[in-house]
Amino acid sequence: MLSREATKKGDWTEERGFFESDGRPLYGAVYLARQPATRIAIFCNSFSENHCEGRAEAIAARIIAENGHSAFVYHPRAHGDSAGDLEDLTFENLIDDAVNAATYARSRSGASEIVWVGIRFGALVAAHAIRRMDGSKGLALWEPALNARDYLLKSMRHVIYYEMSLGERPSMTVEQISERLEREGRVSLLGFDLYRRFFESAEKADLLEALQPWRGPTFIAQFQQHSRLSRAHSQLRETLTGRGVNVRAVLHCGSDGTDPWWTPEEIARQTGGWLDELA
Amino acid sequence: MNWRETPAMLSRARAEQPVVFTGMKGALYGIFTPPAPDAPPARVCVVFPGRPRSGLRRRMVLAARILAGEGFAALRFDLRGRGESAGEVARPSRIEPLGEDVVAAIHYMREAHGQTRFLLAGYCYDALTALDSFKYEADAVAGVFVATPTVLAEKPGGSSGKRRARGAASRLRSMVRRAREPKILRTFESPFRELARSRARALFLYAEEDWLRDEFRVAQEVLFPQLDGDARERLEVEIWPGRIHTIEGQTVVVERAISWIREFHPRSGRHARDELQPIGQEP
Repeated sequence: MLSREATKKGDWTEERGFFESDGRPLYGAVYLARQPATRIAIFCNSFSENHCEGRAEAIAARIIAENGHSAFVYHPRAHGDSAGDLEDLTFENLIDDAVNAATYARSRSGASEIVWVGIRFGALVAAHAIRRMDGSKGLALWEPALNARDYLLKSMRHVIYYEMSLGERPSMTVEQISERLEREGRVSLLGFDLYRRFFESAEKADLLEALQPWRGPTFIAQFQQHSRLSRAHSQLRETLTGRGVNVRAVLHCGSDGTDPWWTPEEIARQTGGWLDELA
Repeated sequence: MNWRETPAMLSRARAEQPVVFTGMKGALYGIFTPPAPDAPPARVCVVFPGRPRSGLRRRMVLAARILAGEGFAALRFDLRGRGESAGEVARPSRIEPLGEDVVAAIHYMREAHGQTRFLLAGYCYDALTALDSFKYEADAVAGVFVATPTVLAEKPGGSSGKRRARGAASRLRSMVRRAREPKILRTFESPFRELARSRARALFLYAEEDWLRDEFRVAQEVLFPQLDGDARERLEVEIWPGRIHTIEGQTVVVERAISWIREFHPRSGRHARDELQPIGQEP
């Protein structure tokens, strides 16, 4: 930890600071339960801009710590308060940071078991990191990206939706944005730049493929305002179940029509309850 | 502007300290970036209130490190209900800016880090929030960068989404409403007057094609003519072509904030000129 700030909050303690990953400082916050916990939840955040998800992580980590487990939230390189440039980033870097974060969090907390919480794109990162960390006990997937290419193309589509919401004609199609990325090495998306280097490093990442060896308990939380599990999430659940994985899938619809990411308390409690049940 | 991380920025990242301080609605979380020890000291602390503190494209993170590398202290923090900070998340309200959070940040930086002079910078609602703190801490603030906040008590004509959804009768009522004298927000006017009475400089930045430009035009017509000579000198206005109140616009706004804040460094030409120019004297 390069610099650390600790705050005691009732039954748990929060410690925020920076740790080293691949020679650069990354921001992290460890939430320590009052009693030393054997298990720590490591939150792998989504790619680039994730303002509402970032708040959801902080809230969820605190709820999990209140419930007697430790938790760790961190910003990978080129994200949030950490060092690093998006221009240099590769998918492998994100996995390295997740592994370094888990190693660090385990040393700070004394926990022996890791439960990964992968959020959107972070699900892909967690699914790859899990293979490199002994002691991975469980995997929670919050609105998981099923593959990186689709996720990034969807980010391009959001530019079109945004332009339409302003009453403008979309300036480019997804195909044209992809061509520009290929040609110029960078495209500007909503709130972040996507670089060809990252796109090419990540585009083959696939959640089910990465989870081929995984047989641990798995929790899928769908953050959508639908009353049923989406087709994609159903397929994910069925495929994992078919491999012998114990899967629990839950819906997080938000309350009163609000964006479910802004009201993460209930899903955090459910994730904590699932953590309690892990043998 | 090149936003690539330089060795100086990386060095400031290594020196950063997470901080927590008490706001009106609970703990507020931020990151303090100390000034580079080998840079000529600016003797002023830049405060970036944020939703969240990183800003879009992490521009506030990078701005804090760039400025700290040049001798400024910097604090970026999550306003209540955002990022790590306590409080209920709420839609930004033009009648409820969060100046008290900025005041809490100023108090904390004064007490815990010995900072005495502050520069505030905000974009959109965060700019209104920065301005709002003048009600309480005008004497401590050397300057405020105010990019494209709301000015009027009511958005002229309502939002475009609402406009589309309204019927003809409702539109007619709205036109009648629009014909009324536009009312300047109390939350804009009151701190604006405090700013005018203070010794602080300010830069108000808007863009011609943003709908907020129309709101600011009212402030230019009503409030700015009331300024005395000294305040007119201190309160600058820039109206850019195009739009800045967009997701893409924030980058150029933060670039301008950085260049404006640099003028407060004792080594800058502008600062030297201000030091020679007694407050209240016409140039």
